[in-house]
Amino acid sequence: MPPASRVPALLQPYVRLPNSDSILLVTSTLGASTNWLLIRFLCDALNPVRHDAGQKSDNSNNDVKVIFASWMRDWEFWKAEARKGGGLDLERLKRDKRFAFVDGTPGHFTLTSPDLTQLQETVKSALEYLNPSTSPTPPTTLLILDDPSLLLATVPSLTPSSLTSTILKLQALLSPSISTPPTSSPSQNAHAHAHIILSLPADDALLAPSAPTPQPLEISAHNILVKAAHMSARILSCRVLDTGVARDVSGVLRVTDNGGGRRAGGEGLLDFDDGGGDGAEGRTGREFLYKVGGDGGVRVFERGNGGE
Amino acid sequence: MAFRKRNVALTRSDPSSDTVSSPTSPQAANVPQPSPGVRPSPIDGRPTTSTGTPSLDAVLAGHAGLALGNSLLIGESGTTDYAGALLRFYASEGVLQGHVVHVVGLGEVWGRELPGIAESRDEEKRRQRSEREEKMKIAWRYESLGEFGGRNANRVPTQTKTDGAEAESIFCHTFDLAKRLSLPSNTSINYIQIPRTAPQASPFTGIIQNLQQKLETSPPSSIHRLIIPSILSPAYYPPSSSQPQHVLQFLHALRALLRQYPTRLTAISTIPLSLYPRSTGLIRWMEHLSDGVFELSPFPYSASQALSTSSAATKEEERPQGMFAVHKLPVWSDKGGGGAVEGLGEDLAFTLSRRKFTIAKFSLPPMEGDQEAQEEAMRDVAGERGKTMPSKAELEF
Repeated sequence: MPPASRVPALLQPYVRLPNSDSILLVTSTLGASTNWLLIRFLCDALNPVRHDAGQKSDNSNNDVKVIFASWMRDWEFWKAEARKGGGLDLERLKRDKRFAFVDGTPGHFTLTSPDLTQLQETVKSALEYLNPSTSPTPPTTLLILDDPSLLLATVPSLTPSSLTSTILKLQALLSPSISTPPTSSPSQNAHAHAHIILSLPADDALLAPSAPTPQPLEISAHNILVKAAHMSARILSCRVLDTGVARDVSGVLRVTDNGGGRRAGGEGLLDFDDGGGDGAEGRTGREFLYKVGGDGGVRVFERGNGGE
Repeated sequence: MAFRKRNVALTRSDPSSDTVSSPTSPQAANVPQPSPGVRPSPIDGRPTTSTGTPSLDAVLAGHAGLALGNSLLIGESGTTDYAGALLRFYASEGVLQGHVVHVVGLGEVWGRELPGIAESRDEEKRRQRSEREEKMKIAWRYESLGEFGGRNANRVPTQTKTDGAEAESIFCHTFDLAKRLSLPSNTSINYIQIPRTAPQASPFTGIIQNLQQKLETSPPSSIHRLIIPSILSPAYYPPSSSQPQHVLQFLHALRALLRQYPTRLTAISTIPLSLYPRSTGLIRWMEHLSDGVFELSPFPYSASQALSTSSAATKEEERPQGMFAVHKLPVWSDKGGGGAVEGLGEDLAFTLSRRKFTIAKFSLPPMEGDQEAQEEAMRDVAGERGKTMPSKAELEF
């Protein structure tokens, strides 16, 4: 089964990367992890038949390079999940220089310290590995950061703003249009783009500072989440069912487009490929239910259409 | 499709050996003869070990045990120590299986008071049952095979052999809290003391180093269990430990260690939720960093309740002592949390008796008269017929 078919049809437009530089935010809660969703993003980005599908803007950038940095989960986990859930052989993609993994779990250490400059250096070297200077055209690059807010929680000296500025720096690093002045060349003109997917936890306990004295941890978690949400062109949030646990539903996926997304850099309108999702609808958000099967397969369906 | 799935599950442990280099590389050779107390999960074949509590094993998303390389965090509110009983069973099970047991913050006294195996009735009952089952099987076999005794003779020996092997290696023992476990001579319980550190230093670095060193120096086939009772409790830990950077770095490092030894290490920690409520960011982060999260909420003890049910106690011995909530499950939650899991989403209650910690669906017992009636009953020594009490009182006045 090709990786493309592992992405449910309803989800397809939302895991397709937009046609300009973007930051996407994916949020999870304790009972509803977003690992399956990140795998679906990988499926779409690394899908070998993607450029054959006839997307007009994809013709020139069939090569999406992915850098995956994870602080919460190790390489073995992602490798197994990608194979099981997405049908992707990350090991091979790594050899083919289409995928690079930055391990942030202590002890494994691609990252030996929680220092942000080291993160930048590591991403830079990963980028050089994926995209040697000899290659003629710069590829589209996708950087996935799995829970960088863990750094905020474990390193007291780190502030949310230093993390967000690092994220913006990383995007500048990845963006092929970095050499040209950003004001004069809207990035739609270039065929290659830089995308960042941020995966952050968004539990109530982290968002609602506890009374009477909120913990610094809660303030910074709240801070980074709000900042990230403002920077992002689209927010995909997973949570458990509000009404309790159901056997045939794993959770609720809410997709909110940031109103066509005028980014912090003022780069103009983002162009999503999702066809149906016009501004008004996107702004209010759409909700789907999803169910992750024991075999790693995912079903996404609208409310009320769950019955098999 | 079916073939594909199995293939994946099997090869998952294979690649781990090449990246983690030395510690797990002999694990491939280890597979044919699994370590004691370890069995493959019925779902995906990953190695699991027992928590020492059968009904806790049963709620772990169908793996029928705690998958190696995973950790549990059990929160308990109030002043009771039901979670401590779970830790004791977990430790005893580890000792009996010959696993290396690491205990943080507690001394040898704790180790000497581990519950011993409950033998007497249970054991006999089980033996009888298995014998009966064996007989049943044989009878069934004869029945199904009819008079072809020749073919039957071929099968019976192999069958009994496997049964014998199963009986020898028990995955989960039954313990008796009133008994003491006599520690075998080769028992290795590693008591990790919480170091007295400077106020700003992390007390956890020493713990993780100790554990890491023990893992590195022990034979690669050994299985380790880490027990962290009442983490952050001021009774054991210095005030600096509850600073987020210290405890979260520790749990992050522990998480990495568990992933580094995916076939050798499990961990269970408990946390007093009355001191550290779940609604705070710190605890939520700790939960994010653990693979499984459970919460015990014991029912408040009330004398009237105890009395009112005393009559029923004979027939309904297992009155639940509190609610058991499942917030996160190892492996299952990381995947995305789908599929039907036994017990999830239902109200679960736990009962701790001398011999077992049971987790079962919670249902309210039938009303035994109203509260006033029971109050009356309490005054009366023979308050067993709560329902008839009011009328009696009326007569007296």
